[in-house]
Amino acid sequence: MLTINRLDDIVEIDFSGPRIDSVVAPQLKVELEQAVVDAPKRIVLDLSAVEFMDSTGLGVFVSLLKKLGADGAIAVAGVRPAVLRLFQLTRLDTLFRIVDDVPAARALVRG
Amino acid sequence: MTSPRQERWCVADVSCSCEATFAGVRLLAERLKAWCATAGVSEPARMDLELALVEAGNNIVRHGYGQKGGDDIGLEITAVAGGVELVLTDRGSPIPQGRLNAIGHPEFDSESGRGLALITACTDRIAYTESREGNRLVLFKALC
Repeated sequence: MLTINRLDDIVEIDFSGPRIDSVVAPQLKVELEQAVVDAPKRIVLDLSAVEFMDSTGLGVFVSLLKKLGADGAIAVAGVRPAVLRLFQLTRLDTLFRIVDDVPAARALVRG
Repeated sequence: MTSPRQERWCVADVSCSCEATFAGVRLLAERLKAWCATAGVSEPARMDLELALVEAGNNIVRHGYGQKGGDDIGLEITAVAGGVELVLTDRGSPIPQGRLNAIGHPEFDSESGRGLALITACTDRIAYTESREGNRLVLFKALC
């Protein structure tokens, strides 16, 4: 489900599945938590392959953000229309930093 | 006076059911997507309908049946005057009285509790009844 690329200062996480929903959310939460153990707290999430996400999937990302703590940063790249709609309806587009692509996300979390 | 049901579009309605699991809800979403494609529903409206359906189905699985499985969720999709109507039926625990009248957004850092707010945001009218025959959630989405 995930491809994880650890750079020196960033963890890039690429989601391969087309749906992040209640079917996959529990396993996804476990994998994400493992991905950020002893890793940089700057995270890039590439959602370009994700066509649909529900509030359970969104809750996994909220959990990840909380786990990173105050000095953590997450940028979300490649958000497709249905997923962007979810972020906007829940107003979490104000909490997560959403950008067009992975290079922009890298630049954003690097500050 | 013509009732909404007499003014249906010229497409077949859908009546189906699934096991009350999250995987089952996925199947219902696939049926809805197929119907929307056939009916020519716009992509923004289709996205809202799918999200509302999935959130409602998830709530039935999680809260109605307590994730025990072993029962069904019914879905009817009907083109009605001015829009689309989704009817979800189940025999689980009903939504607590008053819950649908007090829907708010949870805290930003909450990891759950957004389902009903999303259903409301994605649809134009919600009706809910519970009876000995089961629970019935009707979601109406207006189409321009």
